Amino acid sequence: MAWYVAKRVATMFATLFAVVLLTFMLMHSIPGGPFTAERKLPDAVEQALVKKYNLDAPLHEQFIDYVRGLLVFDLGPSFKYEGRSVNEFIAEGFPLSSRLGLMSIVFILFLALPLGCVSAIKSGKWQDLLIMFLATLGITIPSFVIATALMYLFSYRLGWLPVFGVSSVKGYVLPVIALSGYSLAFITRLMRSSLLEVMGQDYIRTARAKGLSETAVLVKHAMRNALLPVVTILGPTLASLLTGSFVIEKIFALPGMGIHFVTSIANRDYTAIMGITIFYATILVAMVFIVDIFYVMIDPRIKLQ
Amino acid sequence: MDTNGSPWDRLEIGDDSMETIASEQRSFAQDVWYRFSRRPSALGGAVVVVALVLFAVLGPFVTGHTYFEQNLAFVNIPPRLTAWAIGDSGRYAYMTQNLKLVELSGEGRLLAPIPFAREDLSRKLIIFDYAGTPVSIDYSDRTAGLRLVGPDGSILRSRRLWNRSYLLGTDSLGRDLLTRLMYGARISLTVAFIAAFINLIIGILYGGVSGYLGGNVDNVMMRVVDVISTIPLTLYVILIMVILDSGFLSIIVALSSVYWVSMARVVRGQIMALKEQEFVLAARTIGTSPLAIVARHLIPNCLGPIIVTATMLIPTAIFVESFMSFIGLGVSAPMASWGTMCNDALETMKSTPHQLFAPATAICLTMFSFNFIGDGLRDALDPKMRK
Amino acid sequence: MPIDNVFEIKNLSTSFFTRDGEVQAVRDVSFSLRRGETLGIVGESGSGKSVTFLSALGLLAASGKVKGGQALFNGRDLLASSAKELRKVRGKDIAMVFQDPMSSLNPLKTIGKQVAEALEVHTGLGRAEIRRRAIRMLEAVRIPEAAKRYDSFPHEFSGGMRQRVVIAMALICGPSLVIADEPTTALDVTIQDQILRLLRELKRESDSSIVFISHDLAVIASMCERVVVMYGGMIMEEALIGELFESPAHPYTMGLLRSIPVIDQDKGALLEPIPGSPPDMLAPPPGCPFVARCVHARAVCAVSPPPYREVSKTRRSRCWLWADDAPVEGNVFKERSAAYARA
Repeated sequence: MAWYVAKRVATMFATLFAVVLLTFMLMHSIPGGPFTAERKLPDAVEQALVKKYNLDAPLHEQFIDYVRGLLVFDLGPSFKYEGRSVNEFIAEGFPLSSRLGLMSIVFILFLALPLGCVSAIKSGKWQDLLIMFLATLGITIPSFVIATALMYLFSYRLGWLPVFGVSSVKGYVLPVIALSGYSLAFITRLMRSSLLEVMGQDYIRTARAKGLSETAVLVKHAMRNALLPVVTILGPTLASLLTGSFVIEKIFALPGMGIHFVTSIANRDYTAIMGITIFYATILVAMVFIVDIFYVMIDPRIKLQ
Repeated sequence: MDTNGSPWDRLEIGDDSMETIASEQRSFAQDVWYRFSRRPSALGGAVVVVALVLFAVLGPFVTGHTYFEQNLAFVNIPPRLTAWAIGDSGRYAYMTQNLKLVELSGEGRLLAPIPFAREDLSRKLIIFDYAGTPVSIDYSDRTAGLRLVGPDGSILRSRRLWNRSYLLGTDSLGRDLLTRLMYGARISLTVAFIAAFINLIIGILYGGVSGYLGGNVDNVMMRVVDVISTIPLTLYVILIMVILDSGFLSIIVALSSVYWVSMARVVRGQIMALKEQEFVLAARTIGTSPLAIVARHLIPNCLGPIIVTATMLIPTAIFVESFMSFIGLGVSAPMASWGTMCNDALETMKSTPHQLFAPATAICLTMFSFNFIGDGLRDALDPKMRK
Repeated sequence: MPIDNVFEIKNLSTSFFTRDGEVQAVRDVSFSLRRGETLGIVGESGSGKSVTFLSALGLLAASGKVKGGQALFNGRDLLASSAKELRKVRGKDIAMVFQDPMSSLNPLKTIGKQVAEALEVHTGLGRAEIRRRAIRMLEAVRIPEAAKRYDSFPHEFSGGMRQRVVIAMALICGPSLVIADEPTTALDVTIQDQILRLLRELKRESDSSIVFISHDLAVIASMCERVVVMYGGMIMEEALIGELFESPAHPYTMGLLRSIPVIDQDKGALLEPIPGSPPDMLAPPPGCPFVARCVHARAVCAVSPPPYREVSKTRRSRCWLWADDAPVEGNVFKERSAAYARA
């Protein structure tokens, strides 16, 4: 187990390094450098900027500098806003975004797992058909369409929920639903097919042959085994929540990280784009790591490897 | 069988009367088509996609508008209009959102703006001059809302008409939404098909090489894929779009450079499973070259999953394209994609929801269709995967 | 006499309803099992052997439906029992040993827990006692260091060891009827032999009745006193094991015997496979299911199902050649008995 964790930690850092390198190369491969777009700047100002961002140094030195900064959690200054750092952007946006993400994860799991189970148990009946129909909707309709449709219906037409902002708990309702839509549908479908597959296994028949009741078979034998694939999908789910947050925060005008990221893109704030990307990557890699460790803990078969 | 004989006559083994072949024989393609066409959702999806392609290719020729032509007199007009009858002229007036009047024909064509005369602040009237007849917007009554009144101060009769000039209405610059939707379909579908095709080629090459060679090469190649897919592919697309600057070509390049990883995984998995099978060993024993083994034996045998993955790449590409456009990284104006149209309409969603609903519906419909086709193909190509 | 029968199947018919149509897996099957007896059920895969018992215990997949018949256990019809009553019987009075030890065990639960589970369900014993009994059971099926292995997971065991665990799981409540469904098919030959030996030892120590399902007539011969031969969802023949090998009373059995090697066989003799393939159970032939592969087939065999008749006190056969009006000339069975009668 210790060996496995050590190996996973090593891979995690290697992956992160690769992502940093890749992002850095991408951001520095903009033709003529990031300043070419703003040729209007006077030479003196440009000189000052080049000096400030150390842009005249060779690329590998810039990279080493950047990585050195990362090691002490310094993502550098913003490229567009004088005197602001990328760390500040993250500090401003992350609390709201993480709260939104956490609420969505909880919402997804509390809804998707029971729905998936009901669908599997009632396979072929109307409950199953209804849930699967809704899940298909959730998977195919893009999050920004769900978000705008919800907003139009509940905020403008019915006036039940606030249009923008999260000054009250009500403000979270629509963003969380819109953000969760895809993953909710996906995990529901996954849970259903996983449980159906497990219920067809021989060991379930064995359990029935022992005289266990259907509920006991479901709870003691099927559920845990069916949950394994769901656990593995939690990493990608987080990733999809993350990218989803770009549009959801934009639509509901929530001052989170996503909106910072989208604004940085619009402003071509290269250091901010790079910094936030790396921050996202770090969170994801860390989450995938935690999920992997958790998976090993619940699946005895992996321990020996 | 011989009905005249005794029941104790001997039967010979292989007698036709004993064994019947239960199912009729079909070729593989017929079989796939048979299973595909038995699913209404898949068939419906295919019909919608064909209709969509026709809509995109031929549509703009019949609407009578172009995607860039602006008509500032007719901005933000919805598809369904409230028409106020002007006297007994058989003509109607439509009140725009910025409180201008437009003359309407009886069947709902937009004719011309009605010139503004003056505003009567005391009586709370905005007065327009319709060929000598004054027609006014009455904003005196807060509760009843805005109404049109005639020269004598009486409220005009009103009825609902479909917009015949712009079937889906116009956007904030007075451009025809239907035509823009068709051009959007061209952009979105072109991007999707090209990106899916390029991803298919790269994925097959990468996955094929990795799977066939195996060993360390495979390890390294798959580790690279693992690293790439650690962070959401959408993020790479965003980064690449930032570098390349928004535009039609950029989005194709950006989509093509990352989404092949899923295809590569599928192809590799299939090749790994197939290459140990006897027919590949047989081919190798008789000295077939590795390239020929991959091209003639392995790829054709994993065509099913490849086709399904490629079909599923199309809705992904459409989604990512609209997503990019939505966060301001799509095609540049005046070109339209469904994503940019949604984005443009977001601000004014409350007053002009039709501008949002048209492209949003188009996106959903397309996504549905391709997903259904993909599901149908999956079942049709691989009956083992049926649940 | 009926009290002597611990288990009896009467006119059982079971079908699976698939998207291609109704698969008639079991058709009008009847047999009985006496207390303490070991009955073998032999037939090729798809002949309805397992489905017969899964039907009786209510363990069919969702698409399977029992269309008619009775399954009497100690005189009580299991098919007429409620799901709850049936659960009380399953695992306690009737236990099953399944074919594939790899997939019959839940990979996420410890061996001990899975063996003990039936005790938890059917008895009110305390935890410590349950554990003690489960360990004793594991010892009984010759699991070395049973107490230590109690907390192991299935993947840590070899195939043969897992099959021992599966057997332990079935026997833990001391059932009066054990249904062993191809318990050795998935195992290597040497392991097969160990498991068969274990089963014989366990049988000697208890008075349970055993049904031994297999496609392997040799395995059946080494285990059972009586045998039922199934083909195409029907019983073809029922006999004491010695009689069956001595003088098979059905052409299918004759074919079956010719297709297995015998130790003292003439070196020049050839093993003969039965030509053709089993019938399509979606559209079974109107007459005898074996007609298409039968060398003795008559015109009547293709048209109407043969009667299941008693051939002697201990045996029955479903073949037209045993019918009263069947001609003796060229009739493999009647010529044989005629020869016996003459001698």
